[in-house]
Amino acid sequence: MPASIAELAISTKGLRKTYRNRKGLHVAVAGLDLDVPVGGVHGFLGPNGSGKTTSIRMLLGLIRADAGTMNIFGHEVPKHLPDVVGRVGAIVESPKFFPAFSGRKNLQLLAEAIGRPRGIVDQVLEQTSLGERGKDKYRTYSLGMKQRLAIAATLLKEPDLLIFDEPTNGLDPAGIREIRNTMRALSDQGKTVLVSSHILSEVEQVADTVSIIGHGRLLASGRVADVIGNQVATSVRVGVADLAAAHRILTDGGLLVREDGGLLVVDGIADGAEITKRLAAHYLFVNELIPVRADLESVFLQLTADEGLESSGNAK
Amino acid sequence: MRRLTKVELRRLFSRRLTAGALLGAVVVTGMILLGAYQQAKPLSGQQLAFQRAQFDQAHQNWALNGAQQVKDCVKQQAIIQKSDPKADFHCNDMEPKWGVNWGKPKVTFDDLMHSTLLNWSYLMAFIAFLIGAGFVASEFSSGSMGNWLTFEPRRMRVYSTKLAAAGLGLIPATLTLLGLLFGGVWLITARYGSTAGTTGKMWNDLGLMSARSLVLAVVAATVGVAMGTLLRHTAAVIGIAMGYLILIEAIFSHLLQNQQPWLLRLNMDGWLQHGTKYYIQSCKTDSQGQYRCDGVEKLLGFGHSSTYLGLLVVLVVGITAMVFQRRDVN
Repeated sequence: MPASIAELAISTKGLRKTYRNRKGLHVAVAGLDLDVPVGGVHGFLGPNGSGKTTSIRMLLGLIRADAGTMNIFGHEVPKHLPDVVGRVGAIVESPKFFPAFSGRKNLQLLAEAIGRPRGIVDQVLEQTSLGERGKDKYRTYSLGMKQRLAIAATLLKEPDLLIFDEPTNGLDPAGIREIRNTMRALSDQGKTVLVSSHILSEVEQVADTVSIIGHGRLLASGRVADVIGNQVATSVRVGVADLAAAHRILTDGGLLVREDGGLLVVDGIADGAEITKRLAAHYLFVNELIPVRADLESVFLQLTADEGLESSGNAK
Repeated sequence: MRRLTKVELRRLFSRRLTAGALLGAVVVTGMILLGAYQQAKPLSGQQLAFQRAQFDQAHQNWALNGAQQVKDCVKQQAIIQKSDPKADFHCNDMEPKWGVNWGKPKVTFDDLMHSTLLNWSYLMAFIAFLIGAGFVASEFSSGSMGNWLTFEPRRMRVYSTKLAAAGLGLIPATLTLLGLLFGGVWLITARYGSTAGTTGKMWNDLGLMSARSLVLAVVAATVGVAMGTLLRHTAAVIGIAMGYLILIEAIFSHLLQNQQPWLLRLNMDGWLQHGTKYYIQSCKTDSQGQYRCDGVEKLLGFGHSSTYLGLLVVLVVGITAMVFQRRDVN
């Protein structure tokens, strides 16, 4: 049974945004229906240009939707955004602060604006390991530090919902892991985290649920395991001495077989025993049998390919 | 509102551009005082001797030819008055006078303060405008406006507090500089001119002019905020302002003689001086067939200037409010 709007952290229905440019109208979001459950990490996936950032901006009241409805914790936004904005921390695209002010000063201004005590600034700086660099000017920060400062800013509100738009862009592996751990930790504290990304392996490691969009529309949504299970048949990689003979036998048996790096890949079958049985009947004995688990990336590529989206995210 | 305004005020005074612009205002005030000093300081001994020699020569010439020069003047005046009855050649005022045509009259506090305050007010208003524009435009160009709106999404509240902060923030700075200006001119005239004739009415007029100067600076800062919000880049705001000053006020103003009451600078003048004068060229062929152009003095009332400036401010601030309320913010 679908969750009611009040039970969802975010809900959008028929969300639409078009931009006018020199070539005419460009549809950035085309009737997006998105549900983000309360609690856990929700991955918001889509190729570049698929409408992720535009959708997030509309939710935060930064840009106006042409049509559709949006709710955050049951409050209709942007109409009632002021009632709920205190529960939402967001980083949209890259972190944006006053470059000539120190990290601490930037946070102090934001904390004062929402009536938070000054002490919270040191607290969130420590929480994001920026305590020692808090007095330095923002412009001297590395990308990772800027991202951490942006996370610190979201924590000033003690939010129930955190929205991170491409939070690992430009970060080194250590920085990526740090952000991932932070998102997981926030989720473990009972907060809802919405993370938009096109780095699917990152999202897969941390997300509980995902929504995949393309062309500004929802393509798939649900628990990560369910989305993967629904969309992609599993495969088995098979090692055998006589590849050509094995290929012929399996193909004759109606299986989809291809060669890949000295092994056979049999698609559409999860049962390795069936393969060994068929080959053994022809005195071909398997020396390697590796079940290939479908991953989010393959789901993503399959879904976006079905929708005619290239990797760059441009529409056909 | 109050909390947000306080935060905006803190941000305003934490900005290097604000500090730099206020420092610039101090320098400008110092330079204007230097100009006032140059105007007030007495002639050097050498200059005085030269002027005296010139005056003596002119006076000797007057003693010999003055009567004839007056006769000729009256005759010419009579000819012109046939076509222009109001023509006045000031024939009775032709005698060379020490302290008027030669030498240097003593400056009075009232006169020097009035001219100094007028010049200073324009520069202060421009500095206030830049402070206001840079204050908000930097938020758009750095992208932090979007971040700010995720903390306070009520845009009219955000916009109002920025206007209020820029306006309020300029008050103490302008008052301090006004104090410096008054003190400086007083010291200069006390030393080289005369302060004795400064009547209560003069003080009152100067006080009111200072109050109008303060209002002008505050209004300029808020208009700067509005323009910064509208154009989103300080350079664009400066470009528009300089473009207007150079193209409209400087280059094309002579083509717009009859439209002078609708130019910004003259109305600022009218506001500051509680009404002002301007001149238009009136050209016609006289009774002798000669084409003559004369400057005709016109008055621009305080009411016109204050209404013009008030409407302009409401228009700019109002249009920007509507644009900001609806605009997509990156």
